Amino acid sequence: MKDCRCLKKCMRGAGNNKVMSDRFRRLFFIGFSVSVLFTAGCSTSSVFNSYTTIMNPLIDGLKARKFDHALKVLDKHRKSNDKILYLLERGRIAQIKGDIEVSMEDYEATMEAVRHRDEKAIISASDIGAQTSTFLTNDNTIPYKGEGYEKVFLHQFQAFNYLAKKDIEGAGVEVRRANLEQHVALEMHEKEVRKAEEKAREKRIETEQASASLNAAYHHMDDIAGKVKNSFQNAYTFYLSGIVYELLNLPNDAYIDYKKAIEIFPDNTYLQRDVIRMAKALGMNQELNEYASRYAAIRAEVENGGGDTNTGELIVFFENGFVPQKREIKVPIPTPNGFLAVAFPVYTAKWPDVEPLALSEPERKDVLGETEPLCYVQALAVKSLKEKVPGMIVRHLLRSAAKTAFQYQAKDSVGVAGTILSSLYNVISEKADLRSWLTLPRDVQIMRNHLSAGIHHLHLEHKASGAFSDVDISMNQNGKTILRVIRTGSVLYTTAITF
Amino acid sequence: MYGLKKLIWSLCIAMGAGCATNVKYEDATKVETTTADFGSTDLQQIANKMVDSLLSFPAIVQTTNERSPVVFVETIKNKTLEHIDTESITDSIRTKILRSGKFRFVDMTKVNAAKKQFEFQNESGTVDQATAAAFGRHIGAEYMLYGNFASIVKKSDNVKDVYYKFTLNLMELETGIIEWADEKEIRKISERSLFGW
Repeated sequence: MKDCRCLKKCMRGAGNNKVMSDRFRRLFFIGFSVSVLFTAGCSTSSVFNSYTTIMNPLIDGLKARKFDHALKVLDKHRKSNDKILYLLERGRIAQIKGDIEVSMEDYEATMEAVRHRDEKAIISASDIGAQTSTFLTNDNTIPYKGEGYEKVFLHQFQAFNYLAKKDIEGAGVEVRRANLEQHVALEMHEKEVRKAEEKAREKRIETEQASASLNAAYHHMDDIAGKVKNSFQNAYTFYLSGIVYELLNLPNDAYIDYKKAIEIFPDNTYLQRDVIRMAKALGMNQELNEYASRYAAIRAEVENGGGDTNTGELIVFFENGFVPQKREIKVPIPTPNGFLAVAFPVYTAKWPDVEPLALSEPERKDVLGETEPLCYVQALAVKSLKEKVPGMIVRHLLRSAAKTAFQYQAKDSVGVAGTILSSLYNVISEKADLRSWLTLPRDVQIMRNHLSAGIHHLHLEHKASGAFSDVDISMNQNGKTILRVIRTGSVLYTTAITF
Repeated sequence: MYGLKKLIWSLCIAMGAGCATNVKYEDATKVETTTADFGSTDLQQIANKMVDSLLSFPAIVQTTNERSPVVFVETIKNKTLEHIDTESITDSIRTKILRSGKFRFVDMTKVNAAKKQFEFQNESGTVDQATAAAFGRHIGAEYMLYGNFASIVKKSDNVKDVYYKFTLNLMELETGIIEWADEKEIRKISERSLFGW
């Protein structure tokens, strides 16, 4: 706000030196419009102030078990343009804290906001307003809609809230919603990508050079993006949905979701065991033979195991770390006035090694095993950004045209001072869109094991970060116990739900 | 001067009234189409269809002409994509059937509360034993009412298509035979408007 006033004053000062009153009026108009834009920027947070600078102090708090400050800060954004994003973060933080009621409420509010967005009129006045102001400022003025993979996680995490309240039927509703979200995303997404590519092709001559310089900058993201087929289907969601269906005593539905999960992530041995076990139990002989020949070692193990009947199943979900954040790079884009440095978002984080969580039971001198990866959220995020590139380039070209026109207008009406101010404005307003759900895990791993009924004292150890924790769980005979472990920094947050 | 003051006052009041939230009573059975989600009209349609169908089914008419059998209601499985209170649907159905006088009901959800009262009456020593309700006089249910509630949702850019199917079955407990079953289908489509805020 300080900057706004100062700028306005400067412009007024410049105007006073020239006596001509119509120039003064024009100047005042520009000063006014700039200050209005600034005020808009100040109130809707991430337009001039990048989203990551708002979130990072709060994320640091999570690594030190400090939640309340973050919840309070995020609560202020409940009505902002980006409320979907802030509420996603808030729901997740409340969930890590273990405050199920708050988390449920926030996720519910997010769903309502997403739904409100989806059901908006096709030609909406407020959307046109946002689209117009993006031409004079940056992509951050477009209200945050939520990426496909984020909406899937929203329903999945809400399902965890229902499970924590032992409402399996409610969890069933949420996993079905998550599956529908993946299904709809798959259909709509192909159409959208095609449309954006067509639009980019229409403006081919202008975009070609821009794409070339951008592709060079995005090159290192290709490997990571290549690890997933698309940006929203994730095996973690299908796996949880399989477990919920097993709890609801619907083995057929569970088997279908385990099959979808293994299609996305074939290397997970726990998943391989599950499909073989379910195919056998449901008498799907042909599929059982296929899986058995593909995973021969696992088949033998499933055949030999399962002798002890006084056991329950322990299912461990390990949500590891935080998803990488976008950074801003300046890419030179050709314009009629020469090259213009345009800000683009980019993921620079490297692909990490798998960092498993080891579980043991020191009292019984028993090593239970290690978790195996099931979902790389990092790859989903990178892929999602890559898919948006054609649309981003077109918007940037339109924007640079609008900003150049603004520059000319300023030069005509106030001369050199106007040019300086408008270029200054261009530099300040040129900000990449760094928004994304930042409290999501970087990757998710699972473990599944049979344990005898009764109380178990488990020791969890994460070698890569040095985090460890002890947790007591209880097992019911023929029951299932879900142990969810979330790592933030070197702290492990654990929740155990026994069914 | 007085006239002006009066005018300002009345303007203020009129504006205040204009800004306040508007509340009014509506007919509870009026068709509601705020969104395509499960709503009061769907609940009423399901309850009406189920009760009419059950009470006019020939085999049931014959049985209920002779006596009023005792029924208990099992929960309806919610397999939809919404958090729907299925107990509220079965409550409506049970109330309507009960008021027809053809069936009698026992409530399995209140067994524990009733048991507590029994214990109080028979074991606490405070209640006159001549008036205490005796153990072991409950009537066993002859039929069980149970069902499923499923939905199929399809969404595209501008259209959302929701299909609901509510199935209800009446099973004779002793023989396990389903004496009656019916289903109610509901299909709703919501389209995004072309212009708006």
